Amino acid sequence: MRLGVLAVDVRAAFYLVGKLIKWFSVAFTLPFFYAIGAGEPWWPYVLVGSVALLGGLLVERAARTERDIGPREGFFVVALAWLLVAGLGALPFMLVGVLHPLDAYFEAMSGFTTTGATVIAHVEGLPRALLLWRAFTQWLGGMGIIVLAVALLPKLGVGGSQLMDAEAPGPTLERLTPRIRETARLLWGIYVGLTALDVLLLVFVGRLGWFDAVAHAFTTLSTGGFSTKDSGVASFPPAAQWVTLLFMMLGGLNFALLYRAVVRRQPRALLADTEARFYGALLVGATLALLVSVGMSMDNLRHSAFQAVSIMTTTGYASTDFEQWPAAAKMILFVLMFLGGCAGSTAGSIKVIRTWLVFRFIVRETRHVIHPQAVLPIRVSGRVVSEEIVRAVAIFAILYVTIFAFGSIVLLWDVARAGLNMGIVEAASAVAATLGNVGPGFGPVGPMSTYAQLPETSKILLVFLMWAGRLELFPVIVLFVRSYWRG
Amino acid sequence: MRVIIIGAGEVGRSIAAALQTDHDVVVIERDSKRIELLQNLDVLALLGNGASLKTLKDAGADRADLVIASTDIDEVNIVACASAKQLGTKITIARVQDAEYLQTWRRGYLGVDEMVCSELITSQAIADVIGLRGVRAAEEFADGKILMTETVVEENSPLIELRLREAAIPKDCNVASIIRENAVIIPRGEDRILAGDRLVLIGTPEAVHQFNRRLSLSPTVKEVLIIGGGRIGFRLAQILQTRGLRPKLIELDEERSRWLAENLPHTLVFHGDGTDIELLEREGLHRCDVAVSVTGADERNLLCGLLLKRMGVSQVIVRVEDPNFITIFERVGIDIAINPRRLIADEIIGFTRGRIERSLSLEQDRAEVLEIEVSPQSPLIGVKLAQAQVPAGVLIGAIVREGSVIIPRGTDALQPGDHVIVFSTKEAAATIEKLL
Repeated sequence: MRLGVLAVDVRAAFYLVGKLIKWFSVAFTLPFFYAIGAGEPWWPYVLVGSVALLGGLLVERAARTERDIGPREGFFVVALAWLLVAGLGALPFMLVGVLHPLDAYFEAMSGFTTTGATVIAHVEGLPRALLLWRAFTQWLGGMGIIVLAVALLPKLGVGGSQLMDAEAPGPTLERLTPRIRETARLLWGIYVGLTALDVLLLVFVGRLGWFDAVAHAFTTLSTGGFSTKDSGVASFPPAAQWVTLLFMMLGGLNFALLYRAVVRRQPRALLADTEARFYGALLVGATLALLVSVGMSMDNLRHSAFQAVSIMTTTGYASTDFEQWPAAAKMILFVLMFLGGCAGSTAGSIKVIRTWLVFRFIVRETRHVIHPQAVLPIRVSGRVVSEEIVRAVAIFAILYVTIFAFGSIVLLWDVARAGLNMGIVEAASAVAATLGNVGPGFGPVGPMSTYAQLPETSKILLVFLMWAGRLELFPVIVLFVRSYWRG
Repeated sequence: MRVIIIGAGEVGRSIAAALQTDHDVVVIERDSKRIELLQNLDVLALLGNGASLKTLKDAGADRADLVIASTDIDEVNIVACASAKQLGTKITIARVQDAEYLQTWRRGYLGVDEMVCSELITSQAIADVIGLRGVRAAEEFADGKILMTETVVEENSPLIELRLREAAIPKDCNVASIIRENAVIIPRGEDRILAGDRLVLIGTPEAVHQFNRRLSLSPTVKEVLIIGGGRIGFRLAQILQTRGLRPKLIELDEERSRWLAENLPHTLVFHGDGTDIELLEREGLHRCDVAVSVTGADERNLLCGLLLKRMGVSQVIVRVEDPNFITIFERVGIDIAINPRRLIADEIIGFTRGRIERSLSLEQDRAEVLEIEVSPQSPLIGVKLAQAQVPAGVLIGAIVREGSVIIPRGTDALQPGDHVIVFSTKEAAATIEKLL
């Protein structure tokens, strides 16, 4: 039964959300077992896990229905599930007693959305099980909790593709197999494989301990950016930084493309792909531009490359305190925050493919002024992109920049009200870094600082931006549109 | 040979007319009005559906040597061939317009032995004459290794008044004949090139193009404008793209122009009308080197062609469906009028020649070009051509030996298995056919 005159099948949506939350409780077993092994408090994870399990079961029971969901419900399920998952993920931070509720929620949302903005200055003082949980939230959020659910849960097949379309990054979801479930499994398979490889390389090449290696592999492949060290990746030996750089780059690549290149052994697919080539060119160009700005040296080459990759893939690690870099270098990093990785990667922000399409769109419209009657289709990797997608991408870019602009204004109002000294660029960087799921910005929210000192209202704003940014705006924005609910 | 032709349209009738003297021809046609048009031919006309087994049986498809399906409907032609094959016809030939079917046919057996595709033949024929301003017709032999062209010598040609041996003709190119005031001359080195002559050249495509460029002073083609993005226009653009050109194409239908733009990555497609002077001027399309109008309407092609000719385009090629218009079009100023049905009929007639793989008639049947495989019994084998008893009015234009092309001189000799392209006057054709 539909509720009143609503066009959205809320019941079917809640049924699915309940089911997702129920299964999400399984995630708490990882920190639970680690805590037992390490002799740290384990009860918070049992408690939260039970809350998720019981709450999920209750909702699922109450809303039980046989109806399948459509695209409308897909948006609602995904948006709601992410809010609730962040809420449950925040509870351990509160129960262990390190954060008050809003900070805990900020930290958890920053985790699941793979933003990596933190409110905790002294992470080395936290229990290791909590650090593991913190890194794990990013790993789960990176490839997507919905994608994981579609891959693992039975009977999520039909509505699953609606959900994955709403959650997956990029203009279109590339299906590797006819069955959505197989696709989800393949994507997660690559993700798990790359994470395992990263762990091994960090231990044996980077000389890290197992715990740090696992925690950082979680936050590297997910392009998240949380660290288990107060000074983050800057404390790593150079070899570990190079390994991390490589895996951030892989995390920012299209996983469907990686699948074709590696598993189906078509490495040329990488070179033939317009987005992957543009991605590579942007990274190389950004590295050189940074190197010129900060001055030539071997160390600066490593830092420039690392920072270009880290910021553009929206990971947010810092191999050095880039807050100290010259203004030009910081401006380059600021611009990189808007690019993001490839579609179908774990990266956030606008995405390389959209940037490319917008660029081609501008070129096309310019040519159209010269040749008004010419028919000029836009191609990517030799294939024609439909006008609908081009339009949707242009609108996304406009919406993204609009939200960024208004978000920055609101943040500047709010920090001024609270008496916090924050410049235009610094506030704008905080908005760009949260909306794009990057993590650190400049000034008070720089790489060696935290978001802790921001007023509570600002934190709520940034939480909203992280949530909307990770889900690529539309699933969140439509919830505020009247006709979405009314049909 | 017992030949059944299905469809008595332009193509079917031309084929029937060409085959009636040497073969027993049965024509199947659905339209009784068209049957009447066959009265003046020495053929048996049958009213009926060529794709039905009963009609085919009545026509004697079970003991026919050849069935030619040449209706305007591709599917009917394919089904008719498949049915005839089932009944026991030795060889079937289907005419199709859509090149998709050609691809299907190449992959597997459709019950069709030969498939000729009008859109490919037409677009190839246009592509062959593009940029050769004086060229009136072009024909490929031996899978494109040999090109024959008929070229008009214009008033301003730098080669006028020169003797052939002084004209520095490229090594791989032969002047097979000179057509002068309706007389066909098999030339010798002493003959002079005069304004208004038409030279028939045979040789490798490169050499023939090279000599044609010197004959008619054509600039090297850079810009080609195609009007009409139907099948022929599309294929033509594809061929030009593979030559490294970036053609421009005007298409009237919006959806079709979008499709064309998507499928022709190196072609600039305009959605508009080929007679829209404002469009032509704004885009500078009238400054192209060659304009080709291949819409489905003859009058429109004529209009576009004349307009562009008036606007200064040096070579204008148009497609003409009505065979009566060909000469009229060329008389009023169109450089080359190309008739797809004539091309396809020639192509199909070529298949019926047995040992003669291709045959073309020139200048209202006063001369012929034949592609023949030399029989091992031929008395010409092993004798230097200068000493051989080649009848007057015959010229061996080219030899294809084991895949490579030889433009023969007096010192060359034929070998068994050679394919020769022979140019011959009508009178000498039968003699040389026997000799080879």
